[in-house]
Amino acid sequence: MSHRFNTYWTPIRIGSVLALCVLLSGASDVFAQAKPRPRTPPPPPPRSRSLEVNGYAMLGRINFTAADSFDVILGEPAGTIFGGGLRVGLPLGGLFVDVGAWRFRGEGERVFIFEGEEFRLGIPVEVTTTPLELSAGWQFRFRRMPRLRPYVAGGYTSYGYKETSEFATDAENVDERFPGYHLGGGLEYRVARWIGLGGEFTWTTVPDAIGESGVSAEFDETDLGGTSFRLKITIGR
Amino acid sequence: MKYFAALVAALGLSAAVSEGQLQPSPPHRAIIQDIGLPAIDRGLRAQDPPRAARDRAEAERVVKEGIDRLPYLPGSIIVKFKNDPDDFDVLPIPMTTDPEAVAAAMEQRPDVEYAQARYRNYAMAQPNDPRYPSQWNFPAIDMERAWDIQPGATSDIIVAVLDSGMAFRSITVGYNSRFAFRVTANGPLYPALGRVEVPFAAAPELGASQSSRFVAPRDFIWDDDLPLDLDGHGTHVAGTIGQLTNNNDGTAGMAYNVRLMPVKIIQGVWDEIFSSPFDGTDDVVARGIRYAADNGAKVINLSIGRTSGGPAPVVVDALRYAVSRGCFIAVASGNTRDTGNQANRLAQPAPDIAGMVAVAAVGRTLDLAYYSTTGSYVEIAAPGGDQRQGGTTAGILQQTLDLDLVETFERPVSQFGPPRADAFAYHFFQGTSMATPHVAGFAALLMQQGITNPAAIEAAMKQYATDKGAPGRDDQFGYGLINPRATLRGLGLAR
Repeated sequence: MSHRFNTYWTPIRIGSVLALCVLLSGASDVFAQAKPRPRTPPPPPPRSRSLEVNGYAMLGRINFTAADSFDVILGEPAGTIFGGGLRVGLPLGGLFVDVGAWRFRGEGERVFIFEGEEFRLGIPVEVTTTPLELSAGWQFRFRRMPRLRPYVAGGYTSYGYKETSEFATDAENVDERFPGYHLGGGLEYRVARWIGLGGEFTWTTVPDAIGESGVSAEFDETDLGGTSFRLKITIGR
Repeated sequence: MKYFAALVAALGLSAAVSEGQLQPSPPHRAIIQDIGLPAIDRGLRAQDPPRAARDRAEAERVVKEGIDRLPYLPGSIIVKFKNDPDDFDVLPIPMTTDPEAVAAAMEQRPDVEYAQARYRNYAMAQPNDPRYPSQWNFPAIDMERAWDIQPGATSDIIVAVLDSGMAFRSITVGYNSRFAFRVTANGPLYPALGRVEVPFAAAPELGASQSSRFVAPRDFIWDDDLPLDLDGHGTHVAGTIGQLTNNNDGTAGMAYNVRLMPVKIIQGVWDEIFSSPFDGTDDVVARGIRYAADNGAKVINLSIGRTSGGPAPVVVDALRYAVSRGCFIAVASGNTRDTGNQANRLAQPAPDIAGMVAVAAVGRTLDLAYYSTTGSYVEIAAPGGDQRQGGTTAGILQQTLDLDLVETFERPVSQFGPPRADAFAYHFFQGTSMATPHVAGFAALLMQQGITNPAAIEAAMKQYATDKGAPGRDDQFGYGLINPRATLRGLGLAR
């Protein structure tokens, strides 16, 4: 018995298994378990015969395309976003559809721009964006790395934009929705059968939503979209 | 006596020559009594019977029209039920239903304590000054909503009024009227009055005598620090800029919390009668401008000018100097449209100086005033009054010296006597002189709001002006009528 063990579990093989364990399960497991265990058989390849429903919450950061406009009014060209949604995997390979929404809110003050110099006027302004994203995409699954699920997606954005400021009449405030589009991709890691963690990059364009007046006209910035990175936690299969 | 006069004249001339005409001692006036005499308020002094004042309700309606069509929020009403003593409810109703009618019907129900439409409310900084309803000029440029945003600036901003002086001090001054004179070539000859004592008082609607409201007073006509107004023009102009407001008295001003710098650089008729040592020449004007800039003024009002003679490089230099020191300058475009339309030489450099604007005048109907000089140098327009557009009360109303007691040279010779400058009245004046302080006060509000660069102030005024006349800039209105509220609001991100 001992002879057979020594023959099969050569140091090279033991090292390989340990390295794999480090990659897949983390270092603490490896060093806590001196005796190698038989590996868990990989999960089956992606099933496409039933709907897979996932709900998710996300937290991220967006860098607005209209960077100068947001920077002047809100003090920075980027901000934190949060939201959530529902993803349904269809019984067609990796195809899925996704409905998500997120929100950004920032506070700043109105300004006057003269020859590149900004004069802050002390009149509070609040900007809120609430995009609703309808996406379709493809999720990839690998037999050797079943916990990792990269995906790409794209779709239509209904981009809600609200801008209110002190002393403004209703007509002077903005509360509108604009059509836009988004493209993105990400990676989900299944930490458990029903829980996944992931991150994704999304590029959104909302052309001609701004730029007719306000500082966006001064900077000739017309796109309300931006590039965002989102961390996601997913519940579901 | 002739020898004595000649001796005095020779001594005076000698002194002037020795001082190089720069700092002669004022030979013809002296302080008699430096105490706070009470001012006399003689009320409204209009030549025509005053017309019915514009009532406040109408003013409010005009201001709001076109902004919110409905005075209430449609789709709901407020109801207080008798069985709910603590709170009221907001009940939805169909959007197309008249909330006032529904509320009236609800009030008929026995279980309803009251019901009403959800009327919209606005901050309305409408001054409580009793003569404010006669100041059509402020609602005409939406000042009530502008004051919501920037209520009258603060004492951090100093506005210099370079003019005929200002009723800023209570004092009695002795003058010497040595020469007989005529006001017009064919008019009556008024006799010399000899030594007279003239009482002055601070205009009650400008501030208390020797208070911190007035800073760094300077008189370049008498070369001392008593720029007293013997004319009424400067005090009226100062009132439009900084008349005390919301004090339940008199009238309102544009930037009613600023501090005022009285700088006298032009003569009134009485200054001539009393033989002031200096006249309002270009050099005096230039010195006044530089003085204001060097003594903390952030805004300079020049409701003055001339149409004769050539350019005034000495004044242009001073104007550029003042702007370089951070002063915004408003200058009257002139009052000659109906008499030949000669340009105001002091206003002509305005387009070449970023931070200085030449101001045209509009009347009550917001048409160009009949007298407002037109030209390529006109940059902006403001209310200056036009009594052809509504009679006497279509002028600009402010408190100033009671002209009945100042302009005694308008009386028959038998009633001619020394003036009093301690009695005040509310007069309707018209002119680009009256339009200019609207712009100066407006600039003070913008400075307080955060636009501290004079060139930026000029750009902001032009950018948000309400276009009048031909589209874009024109020679009548410049870039249009000032729009203080829109300018003070500035820019948001998308709107």
